[in-house]
Amino acid sequence: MSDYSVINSRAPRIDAPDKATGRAMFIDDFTMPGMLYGVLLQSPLAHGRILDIDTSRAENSLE
Amino acid sequence: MEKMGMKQLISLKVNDRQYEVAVYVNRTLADLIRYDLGLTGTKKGCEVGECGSCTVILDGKPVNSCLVLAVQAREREVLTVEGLETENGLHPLQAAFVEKGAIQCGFCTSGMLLSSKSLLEKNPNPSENEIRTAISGNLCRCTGYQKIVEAIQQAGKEMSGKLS
Repeated sequence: MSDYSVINSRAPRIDAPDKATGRAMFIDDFTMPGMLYGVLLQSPLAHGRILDIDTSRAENSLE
Repeated sequence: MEKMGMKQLISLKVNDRQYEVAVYVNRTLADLIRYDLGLTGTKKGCEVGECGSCTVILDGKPVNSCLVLAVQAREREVLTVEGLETENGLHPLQAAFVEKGAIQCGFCTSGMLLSSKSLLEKNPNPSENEIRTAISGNLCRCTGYQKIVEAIQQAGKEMSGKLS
């Protein structure tokens, strides 16, 4: 085992210093101009058939 | 978040830097830090004070910044993860977390670091139980608690060694 230089060694994670200092960017840490937000719309019924979804309010908010 | 009333102008110190910010009264300290100041090292996990990922140090005490209103931090001092590093490099806790493999996904790390910094300031040589109590409000879903505890122990030893 001792002949290996990588296997069985305690290699530090390459991204650990960035995560330890708060520099690492997680997906929720990014902002972009005109960024849109998705929202999960859940059915008020436990078991129903989707006949129609009115998306007009969301689409109108794009402007 | 719905906007409430008029914005209030507050001043506060974050990581030794003075800021003046206009905030709605229902703005949380976590949102002020992340969105008004752009310090995204402070994470928001649950936003109800369960997970501890938004922990910052407010006037020397660790708090869940999602449960503190920005206006409550008026004229006070905040330390976030970005304020731990000095010109001499990583804080001993940060270095120990890196070295001991106490960081996996990294989402809980900022909160863990600030809770444990608070602990070590009061108690430089904590027992394993004392460490586990101090970070009991910080959830790690990679479940790497053992290495986090070891890192805190090591940092405590290093820091008290330097002080004596």
